[in-house]
Amino acid sequence: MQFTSESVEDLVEQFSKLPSIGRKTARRLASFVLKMPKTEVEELARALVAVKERVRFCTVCFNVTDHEVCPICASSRRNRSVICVVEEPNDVMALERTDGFDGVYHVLGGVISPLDGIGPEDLRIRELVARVSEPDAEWPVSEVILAVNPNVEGDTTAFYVSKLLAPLGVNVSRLARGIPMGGDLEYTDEATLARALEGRVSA
Amino acid sequence: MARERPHILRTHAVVLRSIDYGETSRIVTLYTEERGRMAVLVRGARSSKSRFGATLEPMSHIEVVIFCKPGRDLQNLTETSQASAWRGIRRSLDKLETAWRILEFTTALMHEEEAHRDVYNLLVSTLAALDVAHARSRNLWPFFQLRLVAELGFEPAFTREDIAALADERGVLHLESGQVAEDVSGFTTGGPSGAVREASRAALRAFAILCRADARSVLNMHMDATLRSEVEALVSGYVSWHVEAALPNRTEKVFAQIS
Repeated sequence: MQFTSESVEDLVEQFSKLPSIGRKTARRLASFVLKMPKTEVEELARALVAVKERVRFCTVCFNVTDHEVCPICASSRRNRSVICVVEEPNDVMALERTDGFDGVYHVLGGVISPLDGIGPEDLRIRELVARVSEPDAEWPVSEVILAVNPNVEGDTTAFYVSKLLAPLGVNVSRLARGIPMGGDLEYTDEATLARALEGRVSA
Repeated sequence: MARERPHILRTHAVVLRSIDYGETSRIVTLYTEERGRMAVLVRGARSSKSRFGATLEPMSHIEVVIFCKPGRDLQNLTETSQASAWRGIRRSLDKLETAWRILEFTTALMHEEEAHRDVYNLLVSTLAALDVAHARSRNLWPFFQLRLVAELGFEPAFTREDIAALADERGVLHLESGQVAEDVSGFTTGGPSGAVREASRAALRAFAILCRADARSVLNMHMDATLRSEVEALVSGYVSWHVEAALPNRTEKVFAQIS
């Protein structure tokens, strides 16, 4: 059933453009907005506009930020000699939540995906190579961690980036792949289990 | 007319493509042994508790269980298990390039739900050879192109013996008929101008071998850079002539940036 208001229908239309939001959920969200106090709706609208007006890419790592340089790159507490390469800004947030990495990041903006026609020129790989090769007496880059997803596109990207970084003399590593913590060997697929065996470490 | 009933399909398949759908699902394009190219929906494939693991990655050789319901555009894949490991393919950029090209070419040339067991066998044997290849894995790309178009009815009509019979060091390949002659006047069938490719005897001989040999034997063929480039151009010309409208080039463009 449709709403009797064109404005509400328009809102439903806009909500349904969001990922994983179907028409039914969009209608529920529109109903919720109708019931919200006007001040909260204005705050929501302001936040939506502000995110497009203020947010930009960090000029060093290409993570999203409100400033020219993101707080991670600007921090004096971070170890700038270790760069963790990720696909998307969401991956930075995931790694930061671990509280186990004190280096800096480089966001590629995707991965090489041949079937989608996405190649190195569509990503920030050139910028990564420039960043690693530029001389910095205080923080010469010693390690690049490739934290791309463990799929075929990720493998293709990792091989290519490793090839480019090899002549620069930095240590290039990749996140370990295998059984998730709390997982069960019996229910792990063969490919993952085989990779876990290959990547086993001393106990 | 009897109405088709829902049924379970168990078959082997190669994963051609896998794209995210919704929050946790995936739409996976398979080349199956029983029904050819088929797109299936895999609910929960991206969830951290997914039982599918790495089996839905492109280039995987798997056994699948699909719940088929008539009238549905996308059937539901409910179970997978690994049929071959093929871990070697993911250990080098050269092998990955060849595999990506093979997957793209197969997806473009084969129609949905047209069973073609020989094409399935060709795909599996080529990827299996690529998996174990120590060198010359690039030979498998022109091999696969020629063999797939041959399966579609465009098999070249000459052998190594025809090349040995050429008087000169060069010959001419007639793209439409797939015949070879010493020059254009030697063809019995006519064709529009420009529908021939001149090539060295060595390139034509390699072309003939690629058309007849099996995937593992192709890995023993030595081609220097000049010969390889001539053979690849010859194969590309022949394939384009027959299936140009369907020819994809995304992978080619991406790897042109990489090399």
